[in-house]
Amino acid sequence: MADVRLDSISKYFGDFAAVRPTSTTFAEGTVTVLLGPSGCGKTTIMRMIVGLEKPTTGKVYFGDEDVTKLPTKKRKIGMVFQYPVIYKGTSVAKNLELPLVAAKMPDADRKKRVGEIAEIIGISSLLDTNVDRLDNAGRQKVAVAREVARQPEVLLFDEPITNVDLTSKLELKRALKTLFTELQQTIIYVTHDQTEAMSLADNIALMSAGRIVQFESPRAIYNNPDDVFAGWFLGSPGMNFLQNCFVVEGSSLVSPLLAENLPVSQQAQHAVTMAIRPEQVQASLTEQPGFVQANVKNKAITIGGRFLLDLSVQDITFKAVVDHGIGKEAASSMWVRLPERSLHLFDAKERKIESGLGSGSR
Amino acid sequence: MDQGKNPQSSTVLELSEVTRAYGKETVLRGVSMSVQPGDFYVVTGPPSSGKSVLLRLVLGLEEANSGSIVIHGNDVSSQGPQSRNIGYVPQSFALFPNKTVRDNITYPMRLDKADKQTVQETLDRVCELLTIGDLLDKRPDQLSGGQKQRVAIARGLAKQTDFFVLDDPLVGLDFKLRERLIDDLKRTRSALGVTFLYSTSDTLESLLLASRVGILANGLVVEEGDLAQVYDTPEAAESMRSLGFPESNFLEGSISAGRCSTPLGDFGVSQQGAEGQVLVGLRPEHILVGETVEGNLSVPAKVLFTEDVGGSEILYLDIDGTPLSTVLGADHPALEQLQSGSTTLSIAPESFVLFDPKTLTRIAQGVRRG
Repeated sequence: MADVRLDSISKYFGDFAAVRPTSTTFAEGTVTVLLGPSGCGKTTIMRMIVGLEKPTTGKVYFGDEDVTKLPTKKRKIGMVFQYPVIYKGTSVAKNLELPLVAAKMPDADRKKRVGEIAEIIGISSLLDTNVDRLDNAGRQKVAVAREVARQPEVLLFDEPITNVDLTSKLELKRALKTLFTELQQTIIYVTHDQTEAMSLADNIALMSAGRIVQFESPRAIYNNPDDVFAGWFLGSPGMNFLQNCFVVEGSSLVSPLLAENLPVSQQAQHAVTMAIRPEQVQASLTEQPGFVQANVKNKAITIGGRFLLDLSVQDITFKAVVDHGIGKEAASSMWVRLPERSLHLFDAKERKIESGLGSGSR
Repeated sequence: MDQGKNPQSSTVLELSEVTRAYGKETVLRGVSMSVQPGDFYVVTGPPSSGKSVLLRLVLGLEEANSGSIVIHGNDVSSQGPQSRNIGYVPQSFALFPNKTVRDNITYPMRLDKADKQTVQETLDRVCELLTIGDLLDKRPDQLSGGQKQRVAIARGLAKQTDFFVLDDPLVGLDFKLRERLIDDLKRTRSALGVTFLYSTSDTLESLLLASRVGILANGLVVEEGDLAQVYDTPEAAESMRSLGFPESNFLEGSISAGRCSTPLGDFGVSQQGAEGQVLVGLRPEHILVGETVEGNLSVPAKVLFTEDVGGSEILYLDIDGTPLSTVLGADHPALEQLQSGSTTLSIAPESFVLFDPKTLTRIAQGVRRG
């Protein structure tokens, strides 16, 4: 097992920067998810780690070893792809054992390891089954188990649960979660699916336009995005980004969305965007101190039966996710509060500002 | 709230006892439903329940075997698509590759021989609503996936009519794009003041879009009504299943002497005289975690897996072999204590909805001990 270190690696295809110069470390024994929309460079980074793509600049290290020039088969890695790679016509057990036999592992050790891994991933009862008889989710479990059993230094997953139906997706996600928790392997996992990333990752490396824009735990990124992109990409729907609806006067944030002015830092002068997650907007059917009146433009139901409301204060529109009872009763107007600790400010370059908001209140 | 309704206009679409079979395979067994002006009417139900066939019958692309289809008061059952004057956004978007975005959008209107001014005004309006005004001179191969989709929707909406049929237009699109198009579609319907009949089998999409819903199952619309009403008081088990994310839990139960017993415990039943096997529905959000409430069922549970969906966490639980799911806000205090792998659930008896296991219609609900 080793950490994976990228030292100023980049990949250009002609003038196109698939990956801009990036330096980062995927820590030993942790699960890092490379997350981002299609074309953000996440697959290219993975391909450079694996050795399927030669970096334009920079180096890749596994632990202290520079592997940049090593061919793929000499890197001690295991890979799981979108489509399961299995040895057809043989049993699940054979599929798991083959690489271990090739590595001349003693029989007893081999049986033991295959048994352990099969148990964790939930295919113990299938060891004698011919893999041809498994569905896609079952085959993918076999492919995962085989790569894990080899105990490579680094395990890489490229959208491994994209091509299965919803029920199998959940089953696979659960198997992977159990596996990742038990193994504590160095795992790098590529996906565009935020739910997968949020559920499986120790850390998310969030990517946009060839850059890692934020590298932190899922909750940290969700609660405290470094830029507008991160706030938008995570969450369903993502953050509300509000412009032309506030001013910073001296050290006060003033807005028709706020019942009272809020103290802010010096840097807040540079704010052009104020943001809040829809589910952090507080709502009330009756007037309350600290709340402002909002018009209800539209209602919908969302996850867990909560209501997703389109609201407006003057001509500022935003979304709020509220409890079922409140959403159902809400007529043409209601009262809302944007709690200080849930407000974020961003500058003209869409970067987070240390606003000082919420420092005094919890 | 803006519902875009015109109180003077009549029912837009009325289907009565519509059937459609292909040889021996009956797809629609007698569908009745009605769409009112300003509705964002979503037809939902399991995959291959006949949603697309239903829309094709409404459009006049296929003829029903029996029953009547009435649009704006005219029986169009035996008329072709032209006389129905319906705008159509199909599931798969074929744009003309050699035409500009402008020509792609205006082509159907020019086929209809609309005058120049109408074409221009309609084009301007749909482009503004779908924010594609700056793409007009591009060709499809210069567009991103999301842009293509918006152009295709714009082409379907660029028609002089007040009634549009949209057949699952967001299927297969990525998550963030769908989020945006859901907003676009709602805003567009409301701004144009028109009526949408829309099909999807995606639960969240139905919930986010619909003002009214029709639940199609086994060849019938088993229930229709305002979204919140059907959500809160489903009359059919399929309505409860189709509307709700995460999906509702369904358990086997049996009623005896006014009480229903289930793997989660037993509770009183609202309907006197009901006896025997029942299907018991329970919405995930009605299961409380880490709280105890007087008069509720208290159920010890094992936590198998939690799934973080951003603002919420879905919990997959096991109660002595019975799988159950629930959902909590991401800031719920109980989430801190779940690491141990077990917890206690609290369920109000009135959250249980009891369905007849044969007809799958509602017969009763749970009540507190007298």
